[in-house]
Amino acid sequence: MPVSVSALGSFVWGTLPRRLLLALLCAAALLGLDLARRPSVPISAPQAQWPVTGAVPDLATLHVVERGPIPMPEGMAAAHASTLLAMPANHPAALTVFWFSGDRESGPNVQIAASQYLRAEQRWTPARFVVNRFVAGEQLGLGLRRLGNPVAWMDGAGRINLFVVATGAGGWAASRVLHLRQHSAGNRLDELSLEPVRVLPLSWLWNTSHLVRNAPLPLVDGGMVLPLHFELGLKYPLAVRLDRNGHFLGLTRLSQRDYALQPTLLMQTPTDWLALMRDERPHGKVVTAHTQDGGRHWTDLPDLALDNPDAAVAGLGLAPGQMLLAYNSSIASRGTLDLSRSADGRQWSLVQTLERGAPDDEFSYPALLWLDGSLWVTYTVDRHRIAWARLAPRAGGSAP
Amino acid sequence: MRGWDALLGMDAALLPALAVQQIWLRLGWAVVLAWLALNCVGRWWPGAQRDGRKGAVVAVIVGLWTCVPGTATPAYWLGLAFQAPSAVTVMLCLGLLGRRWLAFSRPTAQAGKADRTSLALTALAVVLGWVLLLDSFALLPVSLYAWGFGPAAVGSVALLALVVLAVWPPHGGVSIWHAALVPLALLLLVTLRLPTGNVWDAVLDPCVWLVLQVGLARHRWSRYKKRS
Repeated sequence: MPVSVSALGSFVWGTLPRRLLLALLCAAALLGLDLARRPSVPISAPQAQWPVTGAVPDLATLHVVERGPIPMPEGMAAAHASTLLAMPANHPAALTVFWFSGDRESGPNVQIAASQYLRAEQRWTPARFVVNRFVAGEQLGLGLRRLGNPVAWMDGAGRINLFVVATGAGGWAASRVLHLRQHSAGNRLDELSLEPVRVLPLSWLWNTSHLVRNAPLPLVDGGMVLPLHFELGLKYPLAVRLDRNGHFLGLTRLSQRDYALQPTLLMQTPTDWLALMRDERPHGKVVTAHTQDGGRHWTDLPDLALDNPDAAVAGLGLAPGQMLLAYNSSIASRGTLDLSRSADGRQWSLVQTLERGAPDDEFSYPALLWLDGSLWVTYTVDRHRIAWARLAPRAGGSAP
Repeated sequence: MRGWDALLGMDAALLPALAVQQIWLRLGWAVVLAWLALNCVGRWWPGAQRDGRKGAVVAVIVGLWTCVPGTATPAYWLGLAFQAPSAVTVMLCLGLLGRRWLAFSRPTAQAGKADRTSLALTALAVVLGWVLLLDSFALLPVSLYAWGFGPAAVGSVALLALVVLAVWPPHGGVSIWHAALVPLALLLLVTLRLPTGNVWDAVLDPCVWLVLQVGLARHRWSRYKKRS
């Protein structure tokens, strides 16, 4: 005899206790299925990796030993927001620099350009575009309106990963973060090709208004923590953790303040990190937050004494008590770019003024990289080109 | 201890593969646009109210157009603006498509009337949307969206949705479908991680949140007018 739908329904639903039991069982089944799909290996607590092993250089003696412009893509008038990536020791290039370039900032033909510094020839290769918004959009399956800041990272498998600001329907406030990964077998510039992994999911609100700017903090497990910020109306910083394969693990908010953006992460110990940030307020100072558990929880600290003219800063924790910061030191202009050092992250002393121009000049968006005993710095000049400098400690100078 | 770590850990997100996301982007928007097309045809094409075939043909054409690869599909541009629709939105449109089709094929069939369960779920979704909006602007003390990647969020939302169903069981086809939307969206999330691996993106998106607010306001307004 066929069972009617209503009879089946009343058997399943029954009384309230039976329905509640059924609800509990269904929820437990969904949770069990979810847990079964996730990796069974526990994720280790985040521990940052020191960029310098061995003898600690005396940062007070750092001085410029080489400098110059980085070759621009032919015919492009605008360049901004460079990021540096150290290449493996056996690679013909010591490092790669990525930046965005086109007719103008936020122009429709802006692409991500790159150049590599060749060890043997001691020179930069001609620039080459490595990310195009039309190509990346087609590969991704959805449109990308404009491209902006790139940030580079080498994952645990030795592949170049690039995180690029890509806008949706709107200007920079409609930005998302596009994650691309090396697709080519090699990563020499002439053979480098990148393919989208995904748009990082960062917000419920159409996943909009998140941007990257500063370099990630490498972790001992081969993963990293990538600093980002939100900038629709108010500004706040956050960070994303990725494992050694570039898999997204989670995100954390860095500050309760609503005017801090473009965080740069400096390690003080493997689990004590500072986030130094740009301040969008008039007459702002460098904004600071602190974590003691590898980025899981953050506390706001009082602002630094350093002025900040609403401009990006770049920091680097090299070794215990050895931190560097490149920043625009004037309150009203990006015409001066300074490099300072600190032992505690609070008190900073000038190492060298990297650039000093007229108030209308712009030397901005610095990027720092420590490589083979030298500090490499790149920065934007007047939004038209990218400049570089290499600084080395004076011979015989080592920290006490 | 390891079990608790797995359940409560904030570093355990699992995202969908790009290929799966690409299929979802097209299929999801195809269903949403097909429903919109069917609705427009029923409203503005003379005679289509009685002849369901016209509406069906338009809906199928729009749906297929959205599924084509490349840039000549609305999904490419809708993805640029809104990313992918939530699972609840897609299934809601699927249910409405079915209901609309039923109304075409059997003109005497009554459109389902929203009951208390549907209204309660709608009100819950509207409140959740406001909370997520505040969270997007970091106006809450905790980061709700970040928590949505973890298994604890999946379990909590599943439990809440199913307990609501158990306490206020739905009656009638429409309500049962509405009531099953969240559990089905969670099933899609735990099996395929769609649409983003985050539980909030699975159960609610800002587009449907805006529509639900309009629907709820219209319902309140009509009740107010009836009373007065």
